[in-house]
Amino acid sequence: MTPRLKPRDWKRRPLLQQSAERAVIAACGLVVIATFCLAVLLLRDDFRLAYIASHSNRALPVYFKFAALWSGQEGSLLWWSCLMALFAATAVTVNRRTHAHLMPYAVVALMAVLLFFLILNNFAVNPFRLLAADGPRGPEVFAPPDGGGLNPLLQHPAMVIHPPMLYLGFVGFSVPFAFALSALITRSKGEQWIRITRHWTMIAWCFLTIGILLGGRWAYAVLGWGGYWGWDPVENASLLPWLTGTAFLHSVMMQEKRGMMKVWNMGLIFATFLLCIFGTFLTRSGVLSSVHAFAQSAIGPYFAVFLSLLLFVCGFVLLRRLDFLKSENQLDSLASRESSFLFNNLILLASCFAVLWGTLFPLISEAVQGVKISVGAPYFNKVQVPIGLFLLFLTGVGPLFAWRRTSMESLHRNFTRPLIFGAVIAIAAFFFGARNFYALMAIFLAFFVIGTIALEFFRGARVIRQKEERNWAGAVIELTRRNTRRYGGYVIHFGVALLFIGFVGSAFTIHEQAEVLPGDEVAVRNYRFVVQSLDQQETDNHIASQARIDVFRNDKFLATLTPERRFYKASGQPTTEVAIWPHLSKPLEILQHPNADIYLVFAGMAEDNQRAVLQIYINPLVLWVWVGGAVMVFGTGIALVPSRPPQPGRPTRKRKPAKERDEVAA
Amino acid sequence: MKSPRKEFSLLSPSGGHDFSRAEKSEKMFSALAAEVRLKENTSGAKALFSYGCFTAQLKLCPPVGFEAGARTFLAMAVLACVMLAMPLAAQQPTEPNKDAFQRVSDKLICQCGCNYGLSHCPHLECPSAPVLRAAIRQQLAAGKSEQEVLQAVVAEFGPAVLAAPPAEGFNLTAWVMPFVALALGLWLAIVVVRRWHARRRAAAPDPYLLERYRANLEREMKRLEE
Repeated sequence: MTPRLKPRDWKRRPLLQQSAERAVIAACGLVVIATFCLAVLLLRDDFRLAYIASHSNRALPVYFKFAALWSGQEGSLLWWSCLMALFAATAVTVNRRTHAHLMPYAVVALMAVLLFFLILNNFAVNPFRLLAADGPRGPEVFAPPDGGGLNPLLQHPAMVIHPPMLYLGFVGFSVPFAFALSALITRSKGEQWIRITRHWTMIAWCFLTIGILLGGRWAYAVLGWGGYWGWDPVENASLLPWLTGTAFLHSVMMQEKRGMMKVWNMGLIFATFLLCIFGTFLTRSGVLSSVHAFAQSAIGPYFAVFLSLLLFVCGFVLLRRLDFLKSENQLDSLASRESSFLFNNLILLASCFAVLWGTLFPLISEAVQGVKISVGAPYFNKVQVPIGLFLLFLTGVGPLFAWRRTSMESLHRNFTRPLIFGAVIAIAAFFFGARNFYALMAIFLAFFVIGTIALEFFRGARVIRQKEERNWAGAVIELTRRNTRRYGGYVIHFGVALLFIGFVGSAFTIHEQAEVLPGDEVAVRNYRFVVQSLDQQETDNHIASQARIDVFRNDKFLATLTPERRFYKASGQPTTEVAIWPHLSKPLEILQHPNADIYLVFAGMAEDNQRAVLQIYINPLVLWVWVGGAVMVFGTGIALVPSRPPQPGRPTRKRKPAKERDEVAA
Repeated sequence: MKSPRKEFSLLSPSGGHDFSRAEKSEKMFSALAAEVRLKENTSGAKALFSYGCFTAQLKLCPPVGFEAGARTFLAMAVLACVMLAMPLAAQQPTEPNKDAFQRVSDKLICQCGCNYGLSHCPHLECPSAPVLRAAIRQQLAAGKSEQEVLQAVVAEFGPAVLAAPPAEGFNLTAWVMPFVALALGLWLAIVVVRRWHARRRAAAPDPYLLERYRANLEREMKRLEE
């Protein structure tokens, strides 16, 4: 960290640098071998290992045995190290020739983080600890006949991929973090670190998005409380870096295009990475209790030390290099892309702060007033909904402001029609019975955003069609190819708008509880639920009580659903297996009967042991949350593809000077 | 009724499992018990509930708020049988205070450790939700207002039963701080924007020329779009 070591000093010792880079690859290889060993031991039911004995059992299906690798504290931290090592090795391999001057410190930063997790793996939560019992000659290693089983709540397909995705997101941010730190320390010129890490940041962000949404999907399908997002500390912990990461992805554009906000961007990427670690610390150290805290032990102090160290290093380097980061911040106009990005960052960070504050408030309250209180979903919904709506508004408005300045005329041209479109849909929704201010606002803004995006695609495609022989679809594809970042970004924004349409549904959820016998009928609004039978089923892994229920709407048969209540043999734990039926409406019916999930929970038997207790939820529009998420991921994929300049070989209608054509496409 | 809150706070959440299954060998049990002792906070906590004349001592397993071990399941079964034997009309006919009940329970969270809203806790064996729901129904039926019911519940179970902190006293900061931060950030952003804008004007080229260029550019752009 001594500033006297300039890049050229490193160049004098190329062998040292080379050995450091090879060490990264060696470390990666070793960690992968360790993880592979644990996976093999899990698949082989080697219950001599304490971790396997308490997280797996013989009857567990193979894919869950593999997923048990990241279902507990010890295994998931090893998995974390494994992904971290793979990322580090890839980042080093890809960049070591092209950006040699950045490598030394980037390697140091990456390896310091990996070192921390390896210390945890080796000394705090070793997954390879053996079980021993007192034998005649001292303690003897032994294997119990069967393991305690995987927590049944984790036995869900989403759980097989959700943690790896989330970890990939968390770990992924360590690469931009390392390069940012290195660029700062070595005073590397220009915006090179941003160009190097842009794809890394986007990929990490994409994985984090997938991870968060799959977590929601898992909660929705497994926990059985009728929703997908409960503002639980673990959920919040994953949202915090997502919010700052999103802010970073937007504000780096200011630096790339205008050389502005250099300090801010450094701060944001540091904050994002620190929040990844901080979230892990919060949820795994037992500081906060949570439904999702499947992995906990006394690793709090380790994390506390590591976090303070990171904070110190980041703060110190940032302060020492403030002169280097001096940027020519200038603003031509208040109505410009630049200022819209400023507000976007402001809102995202305000949202992040609100989540953090609400998550930590029980601790603060206990420290200040000595009273344990809860901060749950009602709090977060009240605080986040207005912030979220403002963010949605900016999602539509921001991209339409031009860099530097925007004229009133172009604002008028870009906004009038989308605004009318949004308003018409919102008014229609009002007349079809949506009488909730926030919901109507969200509908209005979401369709406004969709309108602006559609208009952008339409305008661009029209210009291409004027010049080249193409149909509309071809023109849209060509448009996207010419500027993948811009149009990929629009697709992501479209996904966000769909996500918000999904959120609107939660304002109209219907929830009923009923105690039923076979043959009974329950009516909820215009739905009817007819209980066909209640019976028992058994597999190697669990015993299930199952209800077969026919669902009718307006006397039209829709589906037969079979919610279950399972009792897992190995762990002796009961769970509910929710039956979810996404009810798709026909396009014309969508306003009258917005598509809703029928969500049935077999909660168990009533006190008389005859009747089944049934929780019935009708959750409108939830489907759009998953569709929106998929669209966001698709958009990120588009943005990752390099842009292609216009092809000269196409037949053109009117020949125009190349310069003008570029202007339009840009 | 004894407030179960204190007992529940003993249920520290953790990733451990309840190994006390009857069919496992004694040898394994002792080894695993040692393992469990290592992660001491995973041990089950005993909670005492009095259901009228019936008292059941339940061993609760902490991990995910509510996961009963086999023994617990047995105890629950016994409990269910006793309840069945009791000449008690457990079934609630049509509820007169349904909306009020819903509004009150939306403001409360279940105390079994699941952290769900009271009306959402899907665990039938939940030791907390049915008690709370019954208490709320009873008090509403007795003609109390929603506010009084909430106060009574808080008095009995402590302030942690509220899903969101009441906006009074120190808890007001929970509500105010996000918006204070937003306002501060807004102020900061405006200051920054104005400063940058001022810097721009100071360094700006001849405004007449700039205006001419811009007019030209916009004319061109318009021509292009049409």
